[in-house]
Amino acid sequence: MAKRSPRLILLSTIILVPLLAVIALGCGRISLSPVEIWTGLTQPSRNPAITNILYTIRLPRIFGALLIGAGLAAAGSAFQSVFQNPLVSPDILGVSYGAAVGAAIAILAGGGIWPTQLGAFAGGIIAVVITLFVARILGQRGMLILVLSGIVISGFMQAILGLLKYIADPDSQLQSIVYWQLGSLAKVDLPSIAATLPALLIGGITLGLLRWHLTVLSLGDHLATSTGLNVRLERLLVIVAGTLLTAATVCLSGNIGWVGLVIPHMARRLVGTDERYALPLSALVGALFLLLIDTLARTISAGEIPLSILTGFVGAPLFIYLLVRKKAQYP
Amino acid sequence: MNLLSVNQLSFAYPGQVPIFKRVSFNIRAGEILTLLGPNGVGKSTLLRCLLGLVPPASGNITLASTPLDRLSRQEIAHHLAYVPQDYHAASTLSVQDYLLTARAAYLRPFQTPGPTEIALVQHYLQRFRLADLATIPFVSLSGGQQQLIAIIHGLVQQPRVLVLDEPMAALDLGRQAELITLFKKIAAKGMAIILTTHLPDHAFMLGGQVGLFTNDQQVVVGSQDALLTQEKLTAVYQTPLSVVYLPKLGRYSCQLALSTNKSTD
Repeated sequence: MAKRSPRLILLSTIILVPLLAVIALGCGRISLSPVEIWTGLTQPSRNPAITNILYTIRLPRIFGALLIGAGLAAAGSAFQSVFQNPLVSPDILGVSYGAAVGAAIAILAGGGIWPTQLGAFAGGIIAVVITLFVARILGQRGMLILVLSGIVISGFMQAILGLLKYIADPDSQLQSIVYWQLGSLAKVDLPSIAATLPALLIGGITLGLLRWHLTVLSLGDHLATSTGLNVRLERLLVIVAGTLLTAATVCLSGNIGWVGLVIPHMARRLVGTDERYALPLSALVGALFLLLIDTLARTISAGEIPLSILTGFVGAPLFIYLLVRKKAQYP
Repeated sequence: MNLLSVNQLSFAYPGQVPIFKRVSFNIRAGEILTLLGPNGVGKSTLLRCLLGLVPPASGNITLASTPLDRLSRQEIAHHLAYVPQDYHAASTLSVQDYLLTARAAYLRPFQTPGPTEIALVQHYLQRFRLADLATIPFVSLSGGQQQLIAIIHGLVQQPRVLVLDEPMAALDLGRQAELITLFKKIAAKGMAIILTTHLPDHAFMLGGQVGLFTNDQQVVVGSQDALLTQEKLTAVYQTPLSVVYLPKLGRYSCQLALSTNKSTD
């Protein structure tokens, strides 16, 4: 694998973000040219309707897509490093469904955005702890054992979610809970972004600061410990930060699959496995990917396509392709 | 001064018979200790105990006159580097990035390695004429090259004691000779070395102390003259062995007591 300059790749990806954001601002039921976007954003009096669309609908949604994509991909990258397992992600470890259950319980109890976030975080942590516990009592440290117990816990959490749907008030609560399950950015607005931003920032900054230690942790417990890391503490920090990120994205948009699994592999193909570069690139590529998918979701048909459907259509084949390429490289 | 003191160390997995009992020895700067014993006797476990990776059942370990359990992982890493048998061969990190991880104990908590660390890694790679490997993924190296890089990882950590678990196991004869020469050279410069091996001849070639895992969960540590005798080695390995002097090389050698004659039964 010829190593291109990781910094150059990071820089060019950063430049792509505003470019794609401007394109996404122009897309929608009413398509707008860059000039119309500019006048709409800077001179509200010229055409209040366009300004309104841009500020209250499209911009929050674009910010939301960028934040959620970045959060899920960064969490996925961190989980894959810390468990030395390329097959895990927030959704496979059960974190996403645990967070959805926590959020749904908070909604049933009539809580607002803060209790919902707290519920999502608690649900996510409980799910990942049970997953790790089940993998441990199965006694083997193989990659598939962790994946398997994650799938079991995800299934269990989905059953709880089903039960909650069954007892939810069909007029008000049911709709919100269904929303968590399918994943959509339709309800993202500025207040909900503002409310989840602290959790996203804390989780993101923690992982960003620990990014090189993630690389050291990927060498396994014994080697990481003997090079001077407090493996237990750092692993705990990474799991909490990753869960915080996942829970915040679940509160914003519900469950969005595949991003946390596939995007880190794409990033590593570009800059190698060192998380110093792979983690920030994962976040950037995740942001771009979700923005692209969400823009497609709201433009290709009049009714919106739930995001998990599109990420699945794109993510699953992409993942198989990446696995095949990897196998060809290191048989 | 003792770099490492082990006093009455015992280890047992919970609810099981002890793996080894009341092991004691001291390591000074520049000393080499070769641990010998049959498979599954607890050589690797003893090494993990020394590094504080698994807690001993009783006894204590002192690192530069401080008890091991009172030192932080970072402080231990300044003293001891570990080259495990499983050095995570599947790592897709480039050789340079793999070696950079050895500097973790010298960086502040959130600091990432910079030009100083890269220069140091390059220096070690050049010393072993392996600078070409810097950008190659670790996983795609041959077993011998991986072992060598894993040992360089230990050296880049610049410890006072280098602990190696069967460093010679995967290597051809030429590489084994290279490593034995290397170990003697770095020991002469003052680094202490503790290693495990299956071949008593490695101990004869390395010189220094020997730790012999006997069959009653004891580890006897002492000089080669006292421990590497035909009787003792035969008892330890429970196989007829022959220790002979090689006048050409000026050292002893331990061989399986098997001849080429076909068995007569």
